[in-house]
Amino acid sequence: MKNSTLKNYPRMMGFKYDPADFIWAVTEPLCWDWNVTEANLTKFTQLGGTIKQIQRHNLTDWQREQLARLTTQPDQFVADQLVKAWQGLAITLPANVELNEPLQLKINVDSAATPLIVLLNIGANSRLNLTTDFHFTAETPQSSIVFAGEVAGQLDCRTEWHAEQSGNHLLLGELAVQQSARCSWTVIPRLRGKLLGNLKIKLAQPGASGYFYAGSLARQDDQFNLQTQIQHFAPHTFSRIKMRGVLFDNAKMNFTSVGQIEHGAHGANADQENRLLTAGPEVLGSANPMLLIDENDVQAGHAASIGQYDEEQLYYLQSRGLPLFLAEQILINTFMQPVLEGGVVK
Amino acid sequence: MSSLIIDDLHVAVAGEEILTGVNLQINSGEVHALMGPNGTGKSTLSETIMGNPRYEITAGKLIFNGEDITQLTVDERAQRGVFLAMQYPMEVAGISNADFIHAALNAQNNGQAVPVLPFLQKLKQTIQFLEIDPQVAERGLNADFSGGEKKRNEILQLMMLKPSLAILDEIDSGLDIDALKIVAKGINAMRDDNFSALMVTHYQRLLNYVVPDVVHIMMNGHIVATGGPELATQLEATGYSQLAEAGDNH
Repeated sequence: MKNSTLKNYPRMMGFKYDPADFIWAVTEPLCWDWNVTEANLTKFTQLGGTIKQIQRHNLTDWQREQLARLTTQPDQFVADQLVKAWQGLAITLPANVELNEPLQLKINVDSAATPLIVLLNIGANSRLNLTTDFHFTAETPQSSIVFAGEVAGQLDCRTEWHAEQSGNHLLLGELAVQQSARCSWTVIPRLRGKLLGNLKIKLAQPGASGYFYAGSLARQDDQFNLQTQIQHFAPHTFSRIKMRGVLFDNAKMNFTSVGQIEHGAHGANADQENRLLTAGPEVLGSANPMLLIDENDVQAGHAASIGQYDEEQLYYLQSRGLPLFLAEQILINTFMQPVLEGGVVK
Repeated sequence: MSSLIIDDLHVAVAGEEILTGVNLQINSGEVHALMGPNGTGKSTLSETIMGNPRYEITAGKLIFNGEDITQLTVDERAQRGVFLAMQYPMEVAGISNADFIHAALNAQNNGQAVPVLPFLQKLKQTIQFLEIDPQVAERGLNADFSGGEKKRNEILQLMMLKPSLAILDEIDSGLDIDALKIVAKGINAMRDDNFSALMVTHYQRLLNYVVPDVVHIMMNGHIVATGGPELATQLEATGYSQLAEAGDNH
């Protein structure tokens, strides 16, 4: 691909990446299926919820509007996905209903040269706890997953990606949060190879709140580039971002969190924390919390760290007979706990 | 049966020599107390026996049950029956107190899993014995514990892991009288012919409840006096100054 074309792709903070790694011509049709446990699905549909398969050529006006919003801010990766023959799911919960049990959605992908899109529509005063597990089989060397939609109620969304083999993976998306609504999004990529993720929560109306919790482990020659962004467009909006990553062997990981407060979003409160644990001899890690503020009456803060195992903690664990590898595993669990328990608002 | 022989031990920290030739023997069934002014090397000795990598042995040996453990790693010493109740126990939220003790028992059982139900029953009994809140078992290891709670948790681990040699580094510091009595109860419950202990302390108070067989006084990085329990009582009355000259003449 020409260098002039590659220049249209977004710059990511941290280390350089090659956009060409995430641009692929369509060679195979998307081959996938999905399932939800029957008990879950029954309860969900009884409340008026729906899960429907969608594709590019049979969208409702609302769905088209959600996808159009993804390109409001230029992003060539997103633009590339939307012009392809994508397929996906639309998950809708009407207003004023609550599903207390988690809705557990499993999506199996056997080949994925074209994108898979998930559209969410959570009605006002409704509540949903949604877990989505993407499983990529050995026949999936590349994938693009795009999320879009609106949250007018309370959404706790946990998304995990699992791959059997090394590949190149794109994670894109934006969820818009309406008045006094809340969206908490936990993202756990359990992938191998190269990852580029750019996920956004847009706090569109007053009183909206958004949370990102991201956690990942990178091994061997993995190169993970993940950016989470929460944009405050209205007054008295609230956001928190927590990202934790562990690097082994020769892995590279860039975590960028962006808290953006637009003019007019007075009373906004944004905080973010970005931490990496380096557990390998040749790893390269970059933790970049960013605050872009165009308003005076706000509260904003950020924290970042890159460090190794706490030697005193290792010593304490080993002093009870635990071998080094087990002590290190316990410290990794301790380090990742704040994001793996994410999605619970305290 | 166990024994610890410390043979002419010299230890440095960050290039500075702290222990200047410690000689000590603790036989199975004995409880020893180690006292001395601040900064004289007591905690250095405790940590060195446990194998803290911050402390460099520049000369001398540690012989435990006839085996030279001077070069062994921390976990290797623990698996051989050495236990250190630390002065400042670490907080590790990623594992519960119960799971940690279970993992330690498994590690000391050649990696073989110790049956869960008997373990939980024993844990419950020991928690009750030490008057610890039962909810502690499921909380993160020492997470958000007060100083006194951490010390009691060290004794809980001691009683569950049953080491043959326990080093108690200022186990009494920061404890009120009720907590001290409970800690002492735990230590005394361990006393038998197969258990030995080295208690590092500043004060006579602990020794009223856990009466030692032998008392050592450490000054300037080596032991300057050894005696029975009456030595600690004498020290309460006279202070360390009379022993300073003996230390200088070492």
